[in-house]
Amino acid sequence: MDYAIEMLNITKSFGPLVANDNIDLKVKHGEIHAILGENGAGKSTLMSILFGLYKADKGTIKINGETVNIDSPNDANDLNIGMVHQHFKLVEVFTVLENIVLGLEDKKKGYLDLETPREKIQKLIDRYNLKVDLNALIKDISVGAQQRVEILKMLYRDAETLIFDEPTAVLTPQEIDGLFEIIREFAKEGKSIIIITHKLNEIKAIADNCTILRKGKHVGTVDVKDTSVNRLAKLMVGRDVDFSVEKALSKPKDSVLSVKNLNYYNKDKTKKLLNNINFDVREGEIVCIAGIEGNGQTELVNLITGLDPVTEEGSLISLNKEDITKASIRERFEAGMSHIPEDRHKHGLILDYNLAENFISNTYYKPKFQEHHILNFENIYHYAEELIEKYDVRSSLGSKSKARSMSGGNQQKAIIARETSRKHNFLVAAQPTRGLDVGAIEYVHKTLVEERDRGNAILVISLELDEVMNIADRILVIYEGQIMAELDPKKTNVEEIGLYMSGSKKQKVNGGSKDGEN
Amino acid sequence: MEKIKQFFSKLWVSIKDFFVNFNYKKVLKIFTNTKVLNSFAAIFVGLLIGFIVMIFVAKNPFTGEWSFNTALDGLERLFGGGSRSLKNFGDVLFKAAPLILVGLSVGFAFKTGLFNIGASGQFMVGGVAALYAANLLTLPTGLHFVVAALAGIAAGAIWGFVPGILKAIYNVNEVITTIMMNYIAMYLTVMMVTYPKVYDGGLTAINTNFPTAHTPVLGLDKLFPGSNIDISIIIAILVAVLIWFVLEKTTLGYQLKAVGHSKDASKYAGINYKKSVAVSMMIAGGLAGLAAALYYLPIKPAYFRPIEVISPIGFEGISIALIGQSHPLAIIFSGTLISYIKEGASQMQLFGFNKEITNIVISVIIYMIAISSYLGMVINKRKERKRELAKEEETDEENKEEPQVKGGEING
Amino acid sequence: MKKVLGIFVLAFMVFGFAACNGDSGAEEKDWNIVMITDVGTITDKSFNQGTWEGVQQFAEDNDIPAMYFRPNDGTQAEYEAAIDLVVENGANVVVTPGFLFETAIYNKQFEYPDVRFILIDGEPHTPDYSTYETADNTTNILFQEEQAGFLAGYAAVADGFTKLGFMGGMEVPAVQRFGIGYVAGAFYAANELDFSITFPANRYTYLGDFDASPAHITAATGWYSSGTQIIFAAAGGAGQSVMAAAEAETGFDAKVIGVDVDQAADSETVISSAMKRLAVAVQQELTAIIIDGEGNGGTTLVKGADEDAIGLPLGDSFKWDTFTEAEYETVYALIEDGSIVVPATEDELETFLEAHAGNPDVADLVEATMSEAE
Ligand SMILES: Nc1ncnc2c1ncn2[C@@H]1O[C@H](COP(=O)(O)OP(=O)(O)OP(=O)(O)O)[C@@H](O)[C@H]1O
Ligand SMILES: [Mg+2]
Repeated sequence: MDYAIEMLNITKSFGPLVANDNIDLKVKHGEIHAILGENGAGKSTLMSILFGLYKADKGTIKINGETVNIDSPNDANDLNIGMVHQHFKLVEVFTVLENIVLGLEDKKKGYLDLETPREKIQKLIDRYNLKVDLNALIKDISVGAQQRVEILKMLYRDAETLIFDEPTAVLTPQEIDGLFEIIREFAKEGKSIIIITHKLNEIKAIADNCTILRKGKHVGTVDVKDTSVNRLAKLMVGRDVDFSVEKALSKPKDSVLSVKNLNYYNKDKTKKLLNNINFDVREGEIVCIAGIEGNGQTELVNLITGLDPVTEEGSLISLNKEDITKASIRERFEAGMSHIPEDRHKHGLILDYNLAENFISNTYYKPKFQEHHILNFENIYHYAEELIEKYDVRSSLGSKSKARSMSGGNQQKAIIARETSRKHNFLVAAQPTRGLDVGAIEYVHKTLVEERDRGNAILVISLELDEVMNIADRILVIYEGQIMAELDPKKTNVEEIGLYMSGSKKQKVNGGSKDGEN
Repeated sequence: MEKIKQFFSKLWVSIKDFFVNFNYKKVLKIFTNTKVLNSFAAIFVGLLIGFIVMIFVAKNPFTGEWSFNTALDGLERLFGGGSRSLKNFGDVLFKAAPLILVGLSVGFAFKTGLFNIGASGQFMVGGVAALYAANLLTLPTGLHFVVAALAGIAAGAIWGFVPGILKAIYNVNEVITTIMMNYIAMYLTVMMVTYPKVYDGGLTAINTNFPTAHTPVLGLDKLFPGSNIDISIIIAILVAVLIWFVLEKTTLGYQLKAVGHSKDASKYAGINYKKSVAVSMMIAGGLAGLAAALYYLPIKPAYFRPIEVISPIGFEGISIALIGQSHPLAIIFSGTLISYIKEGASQMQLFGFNKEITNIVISVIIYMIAISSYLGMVINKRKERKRELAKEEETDEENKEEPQVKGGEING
Repeated sequence: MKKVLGIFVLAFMVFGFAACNGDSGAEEKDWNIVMITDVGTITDKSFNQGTWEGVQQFAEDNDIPAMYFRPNDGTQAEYEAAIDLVVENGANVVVTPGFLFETAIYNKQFEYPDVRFILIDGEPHTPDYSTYETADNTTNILFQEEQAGFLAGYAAVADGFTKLGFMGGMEVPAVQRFGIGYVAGAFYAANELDFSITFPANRYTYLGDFDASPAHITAATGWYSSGTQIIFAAAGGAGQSVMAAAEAETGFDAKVIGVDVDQAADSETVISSAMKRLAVAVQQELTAIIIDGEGNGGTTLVKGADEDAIGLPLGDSFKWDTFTEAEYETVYALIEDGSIVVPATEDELETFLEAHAGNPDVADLVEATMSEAE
């Protein structure tokens, strides 16, 4: 059989942990092959081996039937293998164009030649409809656009095998559709595609075959057409997965978080990012903010949590009846706030600290973890073991694993563990299930509901309507910095929310919300 | 007060633990750790290249003819010069003390994410402050030294605080501000040296005649007869241990390192970024100031002259921190090593070698460290490829250790 | 594993005591001269170099081994360490140029009674100056720098220069004496020849070090461009900076007077040099010790015009325009026979100017020659 890619008996350990245990993966030309597996199952590791970032302890790789040695990404490039990483690897202060040619720079009389590549890239852009501004700086463009840059990077290097590591986790539904279109186009041209995703319906939508990993082992490869979503989930987790969240009716009590007249402008005050936002989150309810990415959610979270300062007069944020508009981040934490941040690498974790150290990053000064300013490592590691056990955080060295070395999903779990385990009665969760496997998502949702039932107030920001519908007790739809509607998930449907999200409909209630009864 | 007592009792317990639970396997592990091996290999390569340079310039000092034996003699001095006698080794330790502290200053800042190029300036103001205190105050022996050393620490700390606070509040790059502070320190100290009450015109330096403020010797000269050794080396070692303790065991260290690793993540965690940066630079400055106190207060001290030159010691501190990979305890060794090599290299003159060769050797060592991690990677890869070719199915005991380091680099 | 082992072996070599195999020293009667340099290099075209040339010359003439040693730093501790080292290595005549060696020699002359020390420009004493003592194995050589400075100042004015300046290195006694002599010579000549000269106090300075630096170039450039015609640079390596400034001056023919050794070769702008004939003095004493077998241990030799140990260079390096060698000889003779007693301190300068230079109104300048210290 003529396979484009064959990875045979691949084994790779990190210290005591066997991340890939005798794994086989075969991909044909023109095939879209999905890889499915729980967080930490070894998907990224397997792909890193194919891309030359890691060296397998054992096993062979064949490209078009020939055994090859891939020692570095350069070797992979030479073999026309390209990869879009789970966490992008772009230089923020370079332009799109510079990022794409980086490493393959052409020289003309000793000077960097950007014009020849520009033409080639522009052709690619037109051909695949990968819209980006070649002259923009990476830090100024959206995540979706950054991903398109990564794709262009691969194409520019004439990649025939394209690896996508969780490409959809950071995209809006529209962007996902666009991406899939492009991927199908690639397949039609005979390119081989390997795609990692946790979203089962995406696999159904796009993949031909699916290889499933569980805890580093190869569970099987299935034909996607013949396999139901539930079956995929079961193969992956090893048990049945419950997709709907069971929860009792919420019985909200006193208001915990109260946001009044919140306004916010961009830096040079040319654009209103938040427009007179008013809402409350009460004890024992989950409020979800639904909306398309980039409509003010990030700003809202940053103002509530103190990552950005409130600048407008008259804006008021209070927590447990205490005015925290001007409070420091630690004061907010002390007042009862917990925060699962949107960007786990930038904010959520200190990547060079180990897991235990990360678990105490906002409580290290508490008497439990220190005495007379000296850290109590016994308690710290004990606490870490507890959380690892309770939240099933998987990594190579347990509490001593560097956060950087952990799989994306497990990093997220670690943050959730930290934020829900410390003392609080209000939790802000920004996209808490991004990058998690279905089993873990189920777990997070359960955790959030438990939180609620314990009487905590919870504010969830999510881009995924399924999630919103599943867990919310109350939905606030945000569009261009305004609350467009307050909805009861039981009395609404995805289509209606969609209308509010796109700004084509607005509730009469001026300025958003009143202290609505539920 | 109670708190301080508690703090030190904890410190003591953890030091005691270190020795009580002294485990040779653990120590061996430290020495076979890739990082440490890299440092050693780098030092080795550095000395080797130094020797190659020596072969080229080896001339019999009397006849002026090239001679390989002279190169060998020189090498013997380079390796052994610092330990030819107890006196030599005592002097090596004596001169190592300020180097260790300046290395700590740079290394500490580095661990907390800051690049302290200003150790020189902090050192200079620290030196003048210590000498002022030594000359102008009248205090009993011993106490006078302590006060003078504290004055040095305070002045250095202030000099570190300024770039720290500028970085914290206005986000001015500390590399630039510390360099500027070096210049300010240079001119300020030149001005202060000639203040008549402390100036010794005969010496053209600040008066060194302050019997009550000299660094105590505490009988160490009996251990190293004839050398200039005093308690400065003990102070340096204790401070290194203290810094290690602060970095690894205290909330302050946790906080400072967190900020060093990720400004955003520590901000998210509610750590006061501004305060951390300022405190960190202050501590770094204080360490450089203490280094200066120990440099200028000994019974036979260095002279503080009104010379418009930025003290080169801060740059030596960078090397020392680099070789010690910013680990406070490793810096004890790297500081001593540099002092040792300097001593040896200076003796090489007896065989007709120019003193500048020390500087060449030391610079080569630093370059080697930078390259060595890369070399290490290449060698590892070679090894793997070879193994693969040989198709040996052996369990790779050593191999298991490597990927962690490798992985870390890739992700970083 | 082998590599690891190798590295350990190296580590032991580095840290382990390489067995105290101290050389047993050269055979007793063989002389072995070592010069230890002062701050600055052996090629400083000044003090170290001048002394070293003398030592080298003597060594060559008499076939005696000689070398120099450069300490790590200009401190008492480092000087002592250097002396220990070279003595351990067989040196039995140690030549040390510079007053900074005074305290180190004080200690070491007693520790090594069999070693002969020649201390140039200083006298051994304790760090607190409470005790001065020169042991029998130590010879001190001092120079009457003021005489050399006097000749330079005299020549400059006699040659028609009217705007003078002085840049010293560190403010040490020897440099002060150069400056004081220079001021005395200039005003002596002006009075004698009835010339009018300008030499304001702000054209008399000590730079603070002996090293060439851009800052010094800037300073000297400032003086030249404001009209100073000639600067006496008694500043070691820093003199190079003054020369650089003079070379860059395009408006007129700026001049420099060098110091210590004949610096004519350094720059076209060096019109003359106030020399201490270090080489001569060192050779005289080395001869006394090694050839004549006695030496002047225990004493301080003050060498001046009498011993031909100071002066301006003649021949090609005598570049004065109108001032002639004959005129020079005349003044030199006056100093040699004591008709002119050149002042060496601020106070002496004041009296000298009053008595022999027509009492010019230059109190500020006189004050500038010595700072208040102590
Ligand atoms: N460089 C490394 N050092 C140590 N352990 C590592 C390293 N890289 C990965 N691991 C461990 O290997 C396991 C597999 O990680 P991998 O990133 O392949 O998971 P994944 O399947 O991609 O998970 P996710 O869906 O969460 O991204 C994890 O337990 C992780 O902690
Ligand atoms: Mg992954």
